[in-house]
Amino acid sequence: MATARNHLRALVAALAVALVAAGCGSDVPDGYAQADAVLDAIGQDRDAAVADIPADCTRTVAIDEYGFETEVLDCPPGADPAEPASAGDLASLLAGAADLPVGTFDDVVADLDPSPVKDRLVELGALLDQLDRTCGSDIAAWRGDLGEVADATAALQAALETPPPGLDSTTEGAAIGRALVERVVLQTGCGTPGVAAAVGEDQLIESGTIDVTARAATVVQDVEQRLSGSPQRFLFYLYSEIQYGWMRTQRDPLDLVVLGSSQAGDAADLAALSTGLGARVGNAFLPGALAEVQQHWLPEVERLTDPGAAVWYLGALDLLADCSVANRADDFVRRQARLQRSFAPSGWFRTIDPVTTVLGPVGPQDELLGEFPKQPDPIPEAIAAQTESYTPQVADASFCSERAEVIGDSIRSLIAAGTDVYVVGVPTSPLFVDLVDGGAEAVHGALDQLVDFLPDEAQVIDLTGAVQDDLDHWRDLTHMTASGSLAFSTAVIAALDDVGFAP
Amino acid sequence: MSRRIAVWFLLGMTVVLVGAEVSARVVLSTTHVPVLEWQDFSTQYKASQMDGRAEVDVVVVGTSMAQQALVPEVLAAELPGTTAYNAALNGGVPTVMERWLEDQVQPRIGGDTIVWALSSLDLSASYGAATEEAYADAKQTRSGTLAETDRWFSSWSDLVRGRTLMRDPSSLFGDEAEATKADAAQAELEVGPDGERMAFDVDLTEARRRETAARITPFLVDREDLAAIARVALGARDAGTRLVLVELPLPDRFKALYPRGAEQHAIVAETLDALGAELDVLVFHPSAEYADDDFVDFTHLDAEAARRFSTEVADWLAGLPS
Repeated sequence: MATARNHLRALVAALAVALVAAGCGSDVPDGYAQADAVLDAIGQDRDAAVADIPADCTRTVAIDEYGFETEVLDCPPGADPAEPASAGDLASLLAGAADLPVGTFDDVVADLDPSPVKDRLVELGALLDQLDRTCGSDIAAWRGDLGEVADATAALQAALETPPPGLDSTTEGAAIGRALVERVVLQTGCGTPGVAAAVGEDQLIESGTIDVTARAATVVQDVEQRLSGSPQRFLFYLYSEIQYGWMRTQRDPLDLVVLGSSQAGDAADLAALSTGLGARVGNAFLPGALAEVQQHWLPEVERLTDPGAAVWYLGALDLLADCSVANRADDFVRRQARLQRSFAPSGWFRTIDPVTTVLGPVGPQDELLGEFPKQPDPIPEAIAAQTESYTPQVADASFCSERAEVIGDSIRSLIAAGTDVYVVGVPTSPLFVDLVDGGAEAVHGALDQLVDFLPDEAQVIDLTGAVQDDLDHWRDLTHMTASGSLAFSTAVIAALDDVGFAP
Repeated sequence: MSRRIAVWFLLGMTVVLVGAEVSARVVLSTTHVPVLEWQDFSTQYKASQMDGRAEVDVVVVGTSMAQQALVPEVLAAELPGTTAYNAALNGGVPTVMERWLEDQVQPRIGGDTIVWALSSLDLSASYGAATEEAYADAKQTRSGTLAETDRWFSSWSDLVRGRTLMRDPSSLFGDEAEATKADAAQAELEVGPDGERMAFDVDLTEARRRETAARITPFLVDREDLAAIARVALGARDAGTRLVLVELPLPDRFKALYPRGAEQHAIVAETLDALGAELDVLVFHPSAEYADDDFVDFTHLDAEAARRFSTEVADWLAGLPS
């Protein structure tokens, strides 16, 4: 009975509290009156939320799956401050030039012992400074400076054959390499008013070079800010940031995304693929990224582009060459650091103009979708360099079963996310095939062996025998020229049609 | 017949659930992978730390800057007969701190005096939304009947408490499990005996600089944060609790990051003074100069400077009318 009375009392008390709360609700302080008084006192507009963002944009901030803060601006076309600017907007785009990430170079060089490498670095640093200045004042000189930068990087590479003490570690190498590449990309002087118009009249400079310079600056700055603190951050070197940049801007899913290493960059002619397949196709290739790296990269591609299907270009380099999977992604970072340090030791950076290499994919983001600039002709120096590099790797080739397991797991993840997966056996130059122990049969056999590691849903298309009829289709041993890319893309279109691909 | 089937079904379900619960207990106790129930392991550790503590006299709140800058041991030593705890959180901006203080801190350890140490990051409209979202989404701080039910089940069932881990076995073993354990261990290492933060590794990297700059770019005072401070102040006044506001020192290297230059930093003091006047709350401004060398990064004091600042604040508190 006492308990019942207690319950009744509690009920009455609760009702009383509820009635009081309802009656006095308007008197409960919400703090906004005091907040507004404070804002008035400091002279700030009460309605100002986050300044400098167009009124028709929505700004949201969230902690994403990697635990870092992501700020998203959702704006209608033309209103997004992160959108690539027109040539006329370059000045405002680069107004914050002092914040561009070019800082590590001078510090690292200053700490080096006297050596030919240090001399070359100092020389290159002066040239890069010059590049910054001339872009804003003397277009003819700027054009010449670009050539001098290329020459200076070649001289630096030669000097690096004998690295001085303290520079052999990846840390210093990465710092310098990254700074050099970025300083080529991020030419702050190009933001000077009137420069874009002057460049536009200069037929000797590739159309849009200055524009993509500005775009690259924006993309890198933006991506670095977004990835700051991310556990994934270690994977992102300059090129992947640029790829990340265009993928992040996608508002509509891709029908098909090309995956693979630098071979995929050269082998995929996106215009041909898009037209031939009647699909929206992007290229998320990463130079130097074999499956050990792709397993970390593909979830990003999936998340950002939400593709209906993926076509993964895999070949002898993936399955028969360097099979080491030790250290996986860490190894990739070190390798890229070495590549970026000198632009060139393995051939990929050596084969092409570094400026074009770095700037090429950074065109109008939504249109290029990761398209890589194709080279017109074979480059004998690159073929010679690669022959030296690859001969010991494939002369006694064996199947990379550990990597095949990684490939299989990655494909299962893609399929689980709702993406159809096609594995396309990508060819190499006939000159490369000759180097492989067992030749073309070994390459075909490797792709056959890979099938055992793949889920049944993945379709395998063996085109490792394609584009073998003409050496002019090959820029070097592993990368196609423009004509090779078109020929191979035509073969891919036919093969995908045969297996029933439909966007 | 149907009754017998129902009985067998219930029996079967019971056996399955008991088996799953036993398995979950065995797995969690043998793998030692901690289950994250708060916004981060640091918050989780502080909640458990407060659970085992008697009521204190002085409670410090704020972000990680406040957590590092005010050392309870120093406050207690400088204020004889006083006990103190630092309840500030990583990312504990006012909109988060309001809920944390009222729902978690005061019910556990009370506090006659609340010292709210504030800086540009507490006031900036460009910072804090993510933490607020994380706090609102964490199991222990989520709102609603479902969340309460979940907490009740989790209080006695390892199967429910650890279901996120159970769904993904890879999180229980290998690199991922080790990373989780390392995160939890690191969080415990960085929290001192009275809740203070002890992360004194120097970090002046470019990434850190950019991250910090992004948090005050653009720099506008957030109306929501001001309103949260106001609500806490008004609630404290009604409850007879003393609230004081403390401006945290910042290095020149931080002030240089304001989009309109170091002069913009003056807004912080102006805002705190206006808050003090509006809410009838006392405001402390750091009198001593704190140089760049006193900070381990762009915002956090080093160990020696934190004790110096704590002494300064304690002296000021000691001189206040009781």
